[in-house]
Amino acid sequence: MFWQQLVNGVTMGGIYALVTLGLTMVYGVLRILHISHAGVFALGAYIGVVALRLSPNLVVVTLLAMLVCGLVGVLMQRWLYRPLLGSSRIVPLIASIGMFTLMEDLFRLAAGPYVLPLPVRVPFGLDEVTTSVVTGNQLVVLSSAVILLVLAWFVINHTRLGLAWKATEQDFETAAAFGVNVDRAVAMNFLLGSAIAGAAGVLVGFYYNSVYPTMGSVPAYKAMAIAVLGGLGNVWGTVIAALLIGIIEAFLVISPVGLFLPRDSIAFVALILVLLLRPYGLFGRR
Amino acid sequence: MGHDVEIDLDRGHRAVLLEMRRVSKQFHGVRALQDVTLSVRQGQVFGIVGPNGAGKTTLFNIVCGVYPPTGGSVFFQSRDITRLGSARTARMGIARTFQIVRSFPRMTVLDNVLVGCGHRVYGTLSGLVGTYNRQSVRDKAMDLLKLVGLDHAAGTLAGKLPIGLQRRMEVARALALDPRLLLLDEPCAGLTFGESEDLVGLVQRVRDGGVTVMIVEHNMGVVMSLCDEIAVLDFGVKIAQGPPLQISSNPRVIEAYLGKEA
Repeated sequence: MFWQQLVNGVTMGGIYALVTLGLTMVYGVLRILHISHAGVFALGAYIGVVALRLSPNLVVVTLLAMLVCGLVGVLMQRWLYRPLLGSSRIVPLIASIGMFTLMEDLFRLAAGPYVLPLPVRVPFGLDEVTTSVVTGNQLVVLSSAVILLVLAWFVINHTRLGLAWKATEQDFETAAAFGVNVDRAVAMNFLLGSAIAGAAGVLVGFYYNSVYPTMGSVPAYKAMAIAVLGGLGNVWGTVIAALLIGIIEAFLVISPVGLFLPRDSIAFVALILVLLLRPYGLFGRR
Repeated sequence: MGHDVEIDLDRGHRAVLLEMRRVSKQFHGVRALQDVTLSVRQGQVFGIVGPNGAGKTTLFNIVCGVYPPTGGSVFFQSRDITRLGSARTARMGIARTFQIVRSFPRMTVLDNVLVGCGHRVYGTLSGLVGTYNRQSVRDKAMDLLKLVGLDHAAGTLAGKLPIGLQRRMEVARALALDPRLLLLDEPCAGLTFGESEDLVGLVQRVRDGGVTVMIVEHNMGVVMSLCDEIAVLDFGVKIAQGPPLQISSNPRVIEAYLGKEA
Protein backbone atom coordinates (compact mmCIF):
# COMPACT_ATOMS: atom_id res chain seq x y z
CA MET A 1 0.00 0.00 0.00
CA PHE A 2 2.74 2.44 1.00
CA TRP A 3 4.84 1.79 -2.08
CA GLN A 4 1.81 1.90 -4.36
CA GLN A 5 0.81 5.28 -3.01
CA LEU A 6 4.38 6.51 -3.31
CA VAL A 7 4.44 5.49 -6.96
CA ASN A 8 1.02 7.12 -7.49
CA GLY A 9 2.37 10.28 -5.90
CA VAL A 10 5.61 10.33 -7.87
CA THR A 11 3.69 9.77 -11.11
CA MET A 12 1.37 12.71 -10.45
CA GLY A 13 4.36 14.72 -9.27
CA GLY A 14 6.15 14.03 -12.54
CA ILE A 15 3.15 15.30 -14.48
CA TYR A 16 2.89 18.39 -12.28
CA ALA A 17 6.59 19.00 -12.85
CA LEU A 18 6.15 18.86 -16.62
CA VAL A 19 3.23 21.31 -16.57
CA THR A 20 4.90 23.67 -14.13
CA LEU A 21 8.27 23.63 -15.85
CA GLY A 22 7.17 25.83 -18.76
CA LEU A 23 5.42 28.19 -16.39
CA THR A 24 8.52 28.69 -14.30
CA MET A 25 10.77 28.93 -17.38
CA VAL A 26 8.63 31.73 -18.81
CA TYR A 27 8.54 33.49 -15.47
CA GLY A 28 12.29 33.04 -15.18
CA VAL A 29 12.93 34.94 -18.38
CA LEU A 30 10.01 37.35 -18.82
CA ARG A 31 8.59 37.71 -15.27
CA ILE A 32 5.12 36.99 -16.66
CA LEU A 33 2.58 34.70 -14.97
CA HIS A 34 1.67 32.60 -17.98
CA ILE A 35 -1.74 31.19 -16.93
CA SER A 36 -2.71 30.18 -20.46
CA HIS A 37 0.15 27.69 -20.25
CA ALA A 38 -2.53 25.30 -18.89
CA GLY A 39 -4.51 25.94 -22.07
CA VAL A 40 -1.47 24.75 -24.02
CA PHE A 41 -1.43 21.67 -21.78
CA ALA A 42 -5.08 20.89 -22.69
CA LEU A 43 -4.35 21.68 -26.32
CA GLY A 44 -1.66 19.01 -26.21
CA ALA A 45 -4.24 16.43 -25.15
CA TYR A 46 -6.59 17.48 -27.96
CA ILE A 47 -3.79 17.39 -30.53
CA GLY A 48 -3.18 13.89 -29.19
CA VAL A 49 -6.80 12.94 -29.93
CA VAL A 50 -6.48 14.28 -33.47
CA ALA A 51 -3.06 12.70 -33.99
CA LEU A 52 -4.52 9.29 -33.15
CA ARG A 53 -5.97 9.25 -36.66
CA LEU A 54 -2.47 9.43 -38.08
CA SER A 55 -0.82 6.97 -35.78
CA PRO A 56 -1.76 5.31 -32.50
CA ASN A 57 1.88 5.24 -31.39
CA LEU A 58 2.43 7.19 -28.15
CA VAL A 59 5.80 8.53 -29.31
CA VAL A 60 4.42 9.86 -32.59
CA VAL A 61 1.36 11.34 -30.89
CA THR A 62 3.48 13.01 -28.21
CA LEU A 63 5.97 14.45 -30.67
CA LEU A 64 3.15 15.88 -32.79
CA ALA A 65 1.52 17.44 -29.73
CA MET A 66 4.88 18.89 -28.67
CA LEU A 67 5.45 20.38 -32.11
CA VAL A 68 2.03 22.04 -32.35
CA CYS A 69 2.03 23.23 -28.74
CA GLY A 70 5.56 24.60 -29.07
CA LEU A 71 4.53 26.64 -32.10
CA VAL A 72 1.36 27.85 -30.37
CA GLY A 73 3.54 28.90 -27.43
CA VAL A 74 5.74 30.95 -29.75
CA LEU A 75 2.68 32.56 -31.34
CA MET A 76 1.40 33.51 -27.88
CA GLN A 77 4.73 35.13 -27.08
CA ARG A 78 4.69 37.00 -30.39
CA TRP A 79 1.08 38.14 -30.49
CA LEU A 80 -0.04 38.20 -26.87
CA TYR A 81 2.91 38.99 -24.63
CA ARG A 82 5.37 40.91 -26.79
CA PRO A 83 2.95 43.78 -27.48
CA LEU A 84 2.29 44.02 -23.73
CA LEU A 85 5.88 43.86 -22.51
CA GLY A 86 6.15 47.55 -21.77
CA SER A 87 3.02 47.66 -19.63
CA SER A 88 2.53 46.91 -15.95
CA ARG A 89 2.82 43.25 -15.02
CA ILE A 90 -0.87 42.92 -14.24
CA VAL A 91 -1.75 43.52 -17.91
CA PRO A 92 -0.10 40.40 -19.38
CA LEU A 93 -1.52 38.43 -16.44
CA ILE A 94 -5.08 39.50 -17.28
CA ALA A 95 -4.47 38.90 -20.98
CA SER A 96 -3.17 35.45 -20.11
CA ILE A 97 -6.27 34.56 -18.05
CA GLY A 98 -8.44 35.80 -20.92
CA MET A 99 -6.48 33.71 -23.38
CA PHE A 100 -6.90 30.65 -21.18
CA THR A 101 -10.70 31.11 -20.99
CA LEU A 102 -10.81 31.62 -24.75
CA MET A 103 -8.89 28.40 -25.33
CA GLU A 104 -11.20 26.38 -23.08
CA ASP A 105 -14.21 27.67 -24.97
CA LEU A 106 -12.56 26.97 -28.31
CA PHE A 107 -11.99 23.35 -27.22
CA ARG A 108 -15.68 23.13 -26.27
CA LEU A 109 -16.77 24.61 -29.59
CA ALA A 110 -14.46 22.44 -31.64
CA ALA A 111 -14.72 19.10 -29.87
CA GLY A 112 -17.89 19.43 -27.80
CA PRO A 113 -18.22 19.28 -24.01
CA TYR A 114 -17.60 15.53 -23.92
CA VAL A 115 -14.90 13.44 -22.37
CA LEU A 116 -12.90 11.94 -25.24
CA PRO A 117 -10.73 8.84 -24.86
CA LEU A 118 -7.05 8.82 -25.78
CA PRO A 119 -6.22 5.16 -26.38
CA VAL A 120 -2.65 5.45 -27.62
CA ARG A 121 -0.51 2.38 -28.17
CA VAL A 122 2.67 2.21 -26.14
CA PRO A 123 5.91 1.01 -27.74
CA PHE A 124 7.77 -2.01 -26.30
CA GLY A 125 4.55 -3.04 -24.50
CA LEU A 126 5.73 -0.95 -21.58
CA ASP A 127 2.16 -0.60 -20.34
CA GLU A 128 1.91 -4.39 -19.97
CA VAL A 129 4.72 -4.52 -17.39
CA THR A 130 2.39 -4.26 -14.43
CA THR A 131 3.66 -5.32 -11.02
CA SER A 132 2.03 -5.16 -7.60
CA VAL A 133 3.62 -1.75 -6.98
CA VAL A 134 3.62 0.04 -10.32
CA THR A 135 1.22 -0.23 -13.24
CA GLY A 136 2.38 -0.25 -16.83
CA ASN A 137 0.67 3.07 -17.46
CA GLN A 138 2.55 4.63 -14.58
CA LEU A 139 5.81 3.32 -16.00
CA VAL A 140 4.98 5.00 -19.29
CA VAL A 141 4.20 8.33 -17.65
CA LEU A 142 7.21 8.18 -15.33
CA SER A 143 9.74 7.29 -18.00
CA SER A 144 8.38 9.98 -20.35
CA ALA A 145 8.53 12.55 -17.56
CA VAL A 146 12.13 11.62 -16.75
CA ILE A 147 13.16 11.88 -20.40
CA LEU A 148 11.55 15.30 -20.82
CA LEU A 149 12.89 16.67 -17.53
CA VAL A 150 16.41 15.53 -18.39
CA LEU A 151 16.05 17.17 -21.80
CA ALA A 152 14.97 20.43 -20.16
CA TRP A 153 17.77 20.18 -17.60
CA PHE A 154 20.31 19.72 -20.36
CA VAL A 155 19.06 22.66 -22.41
CA ILE A 156 18.83 24.94 -19.40
CA ASN A 157 22.19 24.11 -17.85
CA HIS A 158 24.45 22.99 -20.67
CA THR A 159 23.59 24.81 -23.86
CA ARG A 160 24.32 28.30 -25.04
CA LEU A 161 20.60 28.76 -25.28
CA GLY A 162 20.26 28.13 -21.55
CA LEU A 163 23.07 30.59 -20.88
CA ALA A 164 21.36 33.13 -23.14
CA TRP A 165 18.15 32.70 -21.09
CA LYS A 166 20.01 33.32 -17.86
CA ALA A 167 21.65 36.42 -19.30
CA THR A 168 18.35 37.67 -20.74
CA GLU A 169 16.60 37.23 -17.41
CA GLN A 170 19.22 39.20 -15.52
CA ASP A 171 19.62 42.07 -17.96
CA PHE A 172 18.20 41.77 -21.45
CA GLU A 173 19.83 44.94 -22.75
CA THR A 174 23.27 43.78 -21.71
CA ALA A 175 22.56 40.31 -23.10
CA ALA A 176 21.79 41.96 -26.45
CA ALA A 177 24.99 43.98 -26.22
CA PHE A 178 26.87 40.67 -26.17
CA GLY A 179 25.22 39.24 -29.21
CA VAL A 180 22.26 37.43 -27.67
CA ASN A 181 19.24 37.62 -29.98
CA VAL A 182 16.93 38.30 -27.04
CA ASP A 183 13.75 38.00 -29.06
CA ARG A 184 14.69 34.60 -30.42
CA ALA A 185 15.92 33.41 -27.02
CA VAL A 186 12.53 34.27 -25.50
CA ALA A 187 10.73 32.55 -28.38
CA MET A 188 12.82 29.41 -27.85
CA ASN A 189 11.91 29.56 -24.18
CA PHE A 190 8.21 29.50 -25.03
CA LEU A 191 8.83 26.80 -27.64
CA LEU A 192 10.44 24.39 -25.19
CA GLY A 193 8.15 25.15 -22.24
CA SER A 194 4.99 24.83 -24.35
CA ALA A 195 6.20 21.66 -26.08
CA ILE A 196 6.75 20.03 -22.70
CA ALA A 197 3.30 21.16 -21.51
CA GLY A 198 1.83 19.63 -24.68
CA ALA A 199 3.58 16.34 -23.89
CA ALA A 200 2.16 16.51 -20.36
CA GLY A 201 -1.31 16.95 -21.88
CA VAL A 202 -0.92 13.76 -23.92
CA LEU A 203 0.41 11.87 -20.90
CA VAL A 204 -2.48 12.95 -18.65
CA GLY A 205 -5.00 12.17 -21.39
CA PHE A 206 -3.42 8.75 -21.75
CA TYR A 207 -3.12 8.11 -18.00
CA TYR A 208 -6.80 8.83 -17.27
CA ASN A 209 -7.90 7.95 -20.82
CA SER A 210 -9.90 11.18 -20.86
CA VAL A 211 -9.60 14.51 -22.63
CA TYR A 212 -12.10 17.30 -21.95
CA PRO A 213 -12.29 21.08 -22.44
CA THR A 214 -11.69 22.10 -18.82
CA MET A 215 -8.92 19.62 -18.11
CA GLY A 216 -6.52 22.56 -17.81
CA SER A 217 -8.50 24.39 -15.12
CA VAL A 218 -7.18 22.66 -12.05
CA PRO A 219 -3.62 22.33 -13.43
CA ALA A 220 -3.64 26.07 -14.25
CA TYR A 221 -3.90 27.13 -10.66
CA LYS A 222 -2.19 24.12 -9.16
CA ALA A 223 0.85 24.66 -11.39
CA MET A 224 0.89 28.30 -10.29
CA ALA A 225 0.92 27.16 -6.66
CA ILE A 226 3.69 24.64 -7.33
CA ALA A 227 5.74 27.23 -9.23
CA VAL A 228 5.55 29.57 -6.25
CA LEU A 229 6.40 26.73 -3.86
CA GLY A 230 9.47 25.90 -5.89
CA GLY A 231 10.47 29.56 -6.07
CA LEU A 232 9.29 31.11 -9.35
CA GLY A 233 11.95 30.76 -12.01
CA ASN A 234 13.79 28.05 -10.06
CA VAL A 235 13.63 24.90 -12.21
CA TRP A 236 14.92 22.38 -9.67
CA GLY A 237 12.88 23.82 -6.84
CA THR A 238 9.89 23.39 -9.15
CA VAL A 239 10.55 19.72 -9.84
CA ILE A 240 11.01 18.95 -6.14
CA ALA A 241 7.91 20.94 -5.16
CA ALA A 242 5.89 19.10 -7.83
CA LEU A 243 7.02 15.71 -6.54
CA LEU A 244 6.29 16.74 -2.94
CA ILE A 245 2.77 17.87 -3.80
CA GLY A 246 2.12 14.71 -5.82
CA ILE A 247 3.30 12.47 -2.98
CA ILE A 248 1.44 14.39 -0.24
CA GLU A 249 -1.73 14.22 -2.31
CA ALA A 250 -1.38 10.47 -2.80
CA PHE A 251 -1.01 9.82 0.91
CA LEU A 252 -3.66 12.30 1.88
CA VAL A 253 -6.32 10.47 -0.14
CA ILE A 254 -5.86 7.31 1.93
CA SER A 255 -5.57 9.14 5.29
CA PRO A 256 -8.53 10.24 7.46
CA VAL A 257 -7.71 13.89 6.64
CA GLY A 258 -8.68 13.11 3.06
CA LEU A 259 -12.30 12.79 4.13
CA PHE A 260 -12.71 16.52 4.67
CA LEU A 261 -9.75 18.05 2.80
CA PRO A 262 -10.12 17.52 -0.95
CA ARG A 263 -7.02 16.41 -2.81
CA ASP A 264 -6.82 19.42 -5.09
CA SER A 265 -6.68 21.76 -2.11
CA ILE A 266 -3.29 20.51 -0.89
CA ALA A 267 -1.24 22.60 -3.27
CA PHE A 268 -3.12 25.71 -2.18
CA VAL A 269 -2.83 24.99 1.53
CA ALA A 270 0.89 24.56 0.94
CA LEU A 271 0.93 27.76 -1.11
CA ILE A 272 -0.69 29.76 1.70
CA LEU A 273 1.74 28.33 4.25
CA VAL A 274 4.75 29.07 2.07
CA LEU A 275 3.60 32.61 1.32
CA LEU A 276 3.22 33.20 5.06
CA LEU A 277 6.45 31.55 6.13
CA ARG A 278 8.87 31.49 3.17
CA PRO A 279 7.67 33.97 0.53
CA TYR A 280 10.60 33.21 -1.79
CA GLY A 281 9.56 29.58 -2.11
CA LEU A 282 10.65 26.42 -0.33
CA PHE A 283 14.16 26.60 -1.75
CA GLY A 284 14.41 30.31 -2.51
CA ARG A 285 17.07 32.57 -1.12
CA ARG A 286 17.00 36.31 -0.35
CA MET B 1 56.51 68.36 -33.70
CA GLY B 2 58.03 66.79 -36.80
CA HIS B 3 57.70 63.43 -35.11
CA ASP B 4 53.99 64.03 -34.44
CA VAL B 5 53.37 64.83 -38.08
CA GLU B 6 54.99 61.58 -39.11
CA ILE B 7 52.72 59.60 -36.81
CA ASP B 8 49.73 61.46 -38.18
CA LEU B 9 50.70 60.59 -41.71
CA ASP B 10 51.11 56.97 -40.73
CA ARG B 11 47.66 56.92 -39.14
CA GLY B 12 46.31 58.70 -42.18
CA HIS B 13 47.04 55.63 -44.26
CA ARG B 14 45.19 53.28 -42.00
CA ALA B 15 41.70 52.26 -42.98
CA VAL B 16 38.71 53.94 -41.39
CA LEU B 17 37.00 51.45 -39.09
CA LEU B 18 34.07 53.47 -37.84
CA GLU B 19 32.51 56.49 -39.45
CA MET B 20 29.67 58.62 -38.11
CA ARG B 21 28.07 60.98 -40.64
CA ARG B 22 26.04 63.92 -39.34
CA VAL B 23 24.58 61.86 -36.52
CA SER B 24 21.85 63.52 -34.47
CA LYS B 25 19.73 62.22 -31.64
CA GLN B 26 16.76 63.81 -29.92
CA PHE B 27 14.99 62.51 -26.83
CA HIS B 28 11.51 63.97 -26.59
CA GLY B 29 12.66 67.19 -28.21
CA VAL B 30 15.90 67.39 -26.22
CA ARG B 31 18.93 67.41 -28.49
CA ALA B 32 21.49 64.96 -27.16
CA LEU B 33 23.64 64.91 -30.29
CA GLN B 34 23.69 67.27 -33.22
CA ASP B 35 25.33 66.64 -36.60
CA VAL B 36 28.28 64.76 -35.17
CA THR B 37 30.70 63.59 -37.85
CA LEU B 38 33.80 61.66 -36.94
CA SER B 39 35.88 58.73 -38.09
CA VAL B 40 37.96 56.29 -36.11
CA ARG B 41 40.90 54.58 -37.80
CA GLN B 42 42.04 51.05 -37.24
CA GLY B 43 44.44 50.62 -34.34
CA GLN B 44 43.66 53.98 -32.73
CA VAL B 45 42.70 54.72 -29.18
CA PHE B 46 40.08 57.37 -29.78
CA GLY B 47 39.00 59.49 -26.83
CA ILE B 48 35.69 61.26 -26.43
CA VAL B 49 35.59 63.93 -23.78
CA GLY B 50 33.20 66.65 -22.75
CA PRO B 51 31.27 67.91 -19.73
CA ASN B 52 28.48 65.84 -18.19
CA GLY B 53 25.45 65.69 -20.46
CA ALA B 54 27.50 66.43 -23.56
CA GLY B 55 26.14 63.30 -25.29
CA LYS B 56 29.10 60.94 -24.92
CA THR B 57 27.11 57.93 -23.71
CA THR B 58 24.40 58.67 -26.28
CA LEU B 59 27.07 58.50 -28.95
CA PHE B 60 28.23 55.11 -27.66
CA ASN B 61 24.68 53.81 -27.52
CA ILE B 62 24.13 54.78 -31.14
CA VAL B 63 27.36 53.10 -32.26
CA CYS B 64 26.29 49.95 -30.37
CA GLY B 65 22.82 49.98 -31.86
CA VAL B 66 20.99 50.39 -28.55
CA TYR B 67 18.80 52.91 -30.34
CA PRO B 68 18.96 54.40 -33.84
CA PRO B 69 19.88 58.05 -34.32
CA THR B 70 17.15 60.50 -35.34
CA GLY B 71 19.37 61.63 -38.21
CA GLY B 72 22.59 60.66 -39.92
CA SER B 73 24.23 57.28 -40.29
CA VAL B 74 26.94 55.07 -38.86
CA PHE B 75 29.30 52.93 -40.92
CA PHE B 76 31.48 50.11 -39.58
CA GLN B 77 34.02 48.62 -41.99
CA SER B 78 32.16 50.55 -44.69
CA ARG B 79 28.88 48.80 -43.85
CA ASP B 80 25.87 50.79 -42.76
CA ILE B 81 25.06 49.67 -39.21
CA THR B 82 22.76 52.56 -38.34
CA ARG B 83 19.69 50.44 -37.68
CA LEU B 84 21.19 47.03 -37.00
CA GLY B 85 20.22 46.75 -33.31
CA SER B 86 22.56 45.84 -30.48
CA ALA B 87 22.72 42.06 -30.87
CA ARG B 88 23.74 42.16 -34.53
CA THR B 89 26.08 45.08 -33.97
CA ALA B 90 27.79 43.04 -31.25
CA ARG B 91 28.11 40.06 -33.56
CA MET B 92 29.75 42.32 -36.17
CA GLY B 93 32.53 43.00 -33.71
CA ILE B 94 31.61 46.04 -31.64
CA ALA B 95 31.89 45.36 -27.91
CA ARG B 96 31.43 47.68 -24.98
CA THR B 97 31.62 48.22 -21.27
CA PHE B 98 29.14 50.34 -19.37
CA GLN B 99 29.42 53.61 -17.49
CA ILE B 100 27.56 52.02 -14.60
CA VAL B 101 28.79 48.43 -14.38
CA ARG B 102 26.26 45.97 -15.81
CA SER B 103 27.39 42.50 -15.02
CA PHE B 104 25.01 39.56 -14.90
CA PRO B 105 25.11 39.64 -11.10
CA ARG B 106 23.71 36.18 -10.35
CA MET B 107 26.02 34.39 -12.79
CA THR B 108 29.61 33.42 -12.12
CA VAL B 109 32.41 35.56 -13.54
CA LEU B 110 33.25 32.74 -15.94
CA ASP B 111 29.63 32.45 -17.15
CA ASN B 112 29.54 36.22 -17.70
CA VAL B 113 32.47 35.88 -20.08
CA LEU B 114 30.98 32.76 -21.69
CA VAL B 115 27.90 34.78 -22.68
CA GLY B 116 30.21 36.88 -24.84
CA CYS B 117 31.93 33.75 -26.21
CA GLY B 118 28.67 32.43 -27.59
CA HIS B 119 27.93 35.35 -29.89
CA ARG B 120 28.41 33.46 -33.13
CA VAL B 121 25.57 31.07 -32.44
CA TYR B 122 22.95 33.07 -30.52
CA GLY B 123 21.32 34.09 -33.77
CA THR B 124 21.27 30.58 -35.21
CA LEU B 125 19.59 27.27 -34.55
CA SER B 126 22.87 25.65 -33.63
CA GLY B 127 22.73 27.76 -30.48
CA LEU B 128 20.17 25.22 -29.34
CA VAL B 129 22.45 22.22 -29.54
CA GLY B 130 25.77 23.91 -28.92
CA THR B 131 26.95 23.31 -25.39
CA TYR B 132 28.88 26.12 -23.77
CA ASN B 133 30.85 23.88 -21.49
CA ARG B 134 33.05 22.75 -24.34
CA GLN B 135 36.65 22.87 -23.19
CA SER B 136 37.95 25.13 -25.96
CA VAL B 137 35.36 27.79 -25.14
CA ARG B 138 36.09 27.59 -21.42
CA ASP B 139 39.82 27.83 -22.13
CA LYS B 140 39.26 30.97 -24.17
CA ALA B 141 37.19 32.49 -21.36
CA MET B 142 39.82 31.58 -18.78
CA ASP B 143 42.56 33.12 -20.95
CA LEU B 144 40.60 36.36 -21.08
CA LEU B 145 40.14 36.29 -17.31
CA LYS B 146 43.89 35.80 -16.94
CA LEU B 147 44.50 38.78 -19.22
CA VAL B 148 42.49 41.02 -16.88
CA GLY B 149 43.85 39.28 -13.79
CA LEU B 150 40.59 37.70 -12.69
CA ASP B 151 41.25 33.99 -13.26
CA HIS B 152 41.26 33.37 -9.51
CA ALA B 153 37.68 34.71 -9.28
CA ALA B 154 36.19 32.66 -12.15
CA GLY B 155 33.75 30.80 -9.91
CA THR B 156 32.58 33.83 -7.91
CA LEU B 157 29.15 35.35 -8.51
CA ALA B 158 29.81 38.53 -10.48
CA GLY B 159 27.55 40.60 -8.23
CA LYS B 160 29.79 39.83 -5.25
CA LEU B 161 32.95 41.33 -6.80
CA PRO B 162 34.07 44.83 -5.85
CA ILE B 163 33.38 47.43 -8.53
CA GLY B 164 36.97 47.66 -9.77
CA LEU B 165 37.08 43.95 -10.47
CA GLN B 166 33.62 44.01 -12.10
CA ARG B 167 34.95 46.63 -14.51
CA ARG B 168 37.82 44.35 -15.43
CA MET B 169 35.36 41.49 -15.85
CA GLU B 170 33.38 43.70 -18.24
CA VAL B 171 36.52 44.18 -20.31
CA ALA B 172 37.09 40.41 -20.44
CA ARG B 173 33.44 39.85 -21.37
CA ALA B 174 33.71 42.45 -24.12
CA LEU B 175 36.90 40.87 -25.48
CA ALA B 176 35.11 37.51 -25.58
CA LEU B 177 33.24 38.88 -28.59
CA ASP B 178 36.55 39.04 -30.52
CA PRO B 179 35.76 42.69 -31.23
CA ARG B 180 37.32 44.88 -33.89
CA LEU B 181 36.18 47.90 -31.92
CA LEU B 182 35.97 48.16 -28.13
CA LEU B 183 33.99 50.97 -26.50
CA LEU B 184 34.90 51.82 -22.93
CA ASP B 185 32.45 54.12 -21.14
CA GLU B 186 34.25 55.83 -18.25
CA PRO B 187 36.28 52.75 -17.37
CA CYS B 188 38.10 54.55 -14.55
CA ALA B 189 35.02 55.93 -12.78
CA GLY B 190 35.06 54.87 -9.14
CA LEU B 191 38.50 53.28 -9.41
CA THR B 192 41.45 54.08 -7.16
CA PHE B 193 44.57 55.60 -8.69
CA GLY B 194 46.30 52.23 -8.74
CA GLU B 195 43.31 50.52 -10.34
CA SER B 196 43.15 53.24 -13.00
CA GLU B 197 46.81 52.68 -13.84
CA ASP B 198 46.16 48.95 -14.18
CA LEU B 199 43.29 49.71 -16.52
CA VAL B 200 45.40 51.99 -18.69
CA GLY B 201 47.94 49.18 -19.01
CA LEU B 202 45.17 46.77 -19.91
CA VAL B 203 43.78 49.07 -22.62
CA GLN B 204 47.28 49.43 -24.09
CA ARG B 205 47.67 45.66 -24.20
CA VAL B 206 44.27 45.34 -25.90
CA ARG B 207 45.22 47.99 -28.45
CA ASP B 208 48.55 46.26 -29.10
CA GLY B 209 46.53 43.10 -29.74
CA GLY B 210 44.96 44.85 -32.73
CA VAL B 211 41.67 46.07 -31.25
CA THR B 212 40.63 49.63 -31.95
CA VAL B 213 39.44 51.40 -28.80
CA MET B 214 37.00 54.25 -28.23
CA ILE B 215 37.04 55.60 -24.73
CA VAL B 216 34.87 58.08 -22.82
CA GLU B 217 36.72 59.24 -19.75
CA HIS B 218 36.73 62.17 -17.34
CA ASN B 219 40.17 61.46 -15.94
CA MET B 220 42.23 63.75 -18.22
CA GLY B 221 45.50 62.10 -17.21
CA VAL B 222 44.19 58.79 -18.51
CA VAL B 223 42.82 60.35 -21.70
CA MET B 224 46.02 62.27 -22.49
CA SER B 225 48.31 59.31 -21.95
CA LEU B 226 46.16 56.74 -23.79
CA CYS B 227 44.56 58.44 -26.75
CA ASP B 228 45.96 58.99 -30.23
CA GLU B 229 43.10 61.27 -31.10
CA ILE B 230 40.39 63.04 -29.11
CA ALA B 231 37.00 64.44 -30.01
CA VAL B 232 35.40 66.97 -27.70
CA LEU B 233 31.65 67.17 -27.32
CA ASP B 234 29.76 70.05 -25.74
CA PHE B 235 25.95 70.06 -25.59
CA GLY B 236 25.79 67.38 -28.27
CA VAL B 237 28.02 69.25 -30.73
CA LYS B 238 31.56 68.25 -31.65
CA ILE B 239 33.63 71.34 -30.95
CA ALA B 240 37.10 69.98 -31.62
CA GLN B 241 39.04 66.95 -32.75
CA GLY B 242 42.75 66.22 -32.89
CA PRO B 243 45.75 64.73 -31.11
CA PRO B 244 45.90 65.23 -27.30
CA LEU B 245 48.38 68.13 -27.27
CA GLN B 246 46.39 70.08 -29.83
CA ILE B 247 43.16 69.50 -27.91
CA SER B 248 44.54 70.55 -24.54
CA SER B 249 45.65 73.87 -26.00
CA ASN B 250 42.46 74.55 -28.01
CA PRO B 251 40.80 77.68 -26.54
CA ARG B 252 37.25 76.46 -27.28
CA VAL B 253 37.93 73.25 -25.43
CA ILE B 254 39.42 75.05 -22.49
CA GLU B 255 36.40 77.30 -22.36
CA ALA B 256 33.86 74.49 -22.62
CA TYR B 257 35.48 71.87 -20.51
CA LEU B 258 38.94 72.23 -19.10
CA GLY B 259 38.34 75.85 -18.26
CA LYS B 260 35.68 74.96 -15.75
CA GLU B 261 38.12 72.92 -13.74
CA ALA B 262 40.98 75.42 -13.80
